Amino acid sequence: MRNIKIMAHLVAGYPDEASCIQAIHALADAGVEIAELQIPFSDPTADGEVITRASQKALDAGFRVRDIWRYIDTAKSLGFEEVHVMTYGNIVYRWGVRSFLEEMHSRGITGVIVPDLPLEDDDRFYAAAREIGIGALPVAVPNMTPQRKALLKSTASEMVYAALRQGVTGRSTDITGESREFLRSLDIPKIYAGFGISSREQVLSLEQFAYAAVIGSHITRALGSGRNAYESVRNAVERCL
Amino acid sequence: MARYFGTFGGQYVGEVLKPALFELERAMTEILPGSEFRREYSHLLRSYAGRPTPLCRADNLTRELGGAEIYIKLEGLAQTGAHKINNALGQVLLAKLMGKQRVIAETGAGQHGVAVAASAAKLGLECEVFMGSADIERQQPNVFLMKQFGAEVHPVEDGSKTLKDAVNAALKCWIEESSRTFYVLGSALGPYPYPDLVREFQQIIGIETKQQLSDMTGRLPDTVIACCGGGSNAVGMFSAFLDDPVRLIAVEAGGTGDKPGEHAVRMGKDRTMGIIEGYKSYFLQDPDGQVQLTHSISAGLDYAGIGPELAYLGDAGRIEFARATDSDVLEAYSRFASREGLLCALESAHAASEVLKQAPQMEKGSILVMNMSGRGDKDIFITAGRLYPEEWKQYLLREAAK
Repeated sequence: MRNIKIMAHLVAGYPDEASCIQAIHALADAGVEIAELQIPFSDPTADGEVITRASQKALDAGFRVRDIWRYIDTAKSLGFEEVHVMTYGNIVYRWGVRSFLEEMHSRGITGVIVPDLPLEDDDRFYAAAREIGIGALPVAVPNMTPQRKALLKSTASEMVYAALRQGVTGRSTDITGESREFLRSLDIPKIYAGFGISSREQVLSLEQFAYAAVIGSHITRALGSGRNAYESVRNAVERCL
Repeated sequence: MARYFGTFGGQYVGEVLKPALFELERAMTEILPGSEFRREYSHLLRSYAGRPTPLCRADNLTRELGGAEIYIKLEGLAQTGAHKINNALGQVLLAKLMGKQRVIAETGAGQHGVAVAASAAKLGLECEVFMGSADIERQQPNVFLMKQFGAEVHPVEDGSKTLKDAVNAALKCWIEESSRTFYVLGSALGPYPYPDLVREFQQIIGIETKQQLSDMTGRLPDTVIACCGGGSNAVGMFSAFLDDPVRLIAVEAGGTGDKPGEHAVRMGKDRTMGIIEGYKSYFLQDPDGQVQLTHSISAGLDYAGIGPELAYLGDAGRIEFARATDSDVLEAYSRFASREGLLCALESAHAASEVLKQAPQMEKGSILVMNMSGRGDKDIFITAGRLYPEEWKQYLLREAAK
């Protein structure tokens, strides 16, 4: 019995709406506890090639930001323990920081992840999330100084997304003693740890150090294979369970 | 140092880039004011970059247009053909004194990339340049020059395959490896402290101009005009005049029309704020916040965002914004060439077009200064193709057949 939850990430609208909805079903059927849905953005600076291309493809196919509700409603109806939404600062800013958070909260979203809105919180994103009662997960990285970690801890309240290495999403990661020490040093109850996870060994190596292991580009890569979306995603996830 | 200009600017990057930006900020306060940097930078500007660049009185156009006396700052005479070298040399030298071994840069048209590649060659650092594959297609001569200077040119296949995608790719490369790498950003934008750093190195344009005009005429200009993409030459020219009673006009790319994708006018009536590529400013974007495609005959102005300081000064009413269409630009390009013997870069020809509009309306004896940010040799594949399509095509066919 695995002692860590799985958060599985999908780019909404990729490769197309029907396949993406099937992919959400595949995650639920495989026993994934947490779904993370990314609202595609034209200029995703924290993402590697796989998710950047997937986002562009979804936008080229006509994805509009408020289409995210259809994916969220699907995920909510399938009984995931938590559903999170990830996107970039400009999408939230154009939507309206406060109304974005309020609407996500009212639809039952557990947490939102916006990697380019910094801890200094100049736009009151984290502060508004606290007031509204929705989780806003800042991103922790291994090269943070103790001062930045302290700021992170006060910003994060109880949830944080931890990147297991420096860099953008997608490239494989060796999870070492150092990675685990980094997670421990965050001293935050619910750590969602990711970046480059694509195997059961990686997931299990995070047990006791993270609340959830995040599987991202690995699933999007499988979806890009052109084969049946449901089967590809289910196989890709089951490799990690 | 303040991270914002009013509400514009900021440092909107992932936590992973914070240490590199803090390190840069520290280097700006510790290394830039130091005598080693000052001495070497000013030596390079004089002995390598060709500074000071001349301020030239445009006698024929002044007579022909019948209003203001027109002066032109010839930044195109600087090394690698544009003002870009001022900033490239400054940042590459800073990188060297910080102990970095490698510089990376984004480029659109290739002018910044060429300036960085040349500076890195001169100062002995490794250089890699990210360039959208669509821009590589359009700007082969600059790709060739960068390679001659020893730079590695990485084609960027994401998004629109143009400048904004090159910026994203350079940022991602820097996210991957920032301990031995310095990111040389080419315009007065991006996350803090870049807008300040770029202004620091470009303000020499305005400082020299003010001194030269004072030596020639004993007075200040009435109006100063510069083209404006991201805004590095405009910020560089205008910053010396912000506290003076001088009218400042920045000229954006009017392209071929008003519809999305036909121009790069960020400072029109419907300005929309956004947070993109690390800074908050006005961007061309759709109602969802997705960045829109832009168009300009000049690759250097073909960009969806504008530097935060210029956007702030525009909102505050200190800088006026005008626009020039592609056809206005070609007309000004030809007229400056035939009347003054000056071949403007297509970017600078946007400013030239505004000179043709403003000068006749100004009083006789008043003074108008234009920044010719670059020279137009680089554009010959575009301008010749537009102005003499048949002869140019025949020439290219003959060359290809050799």
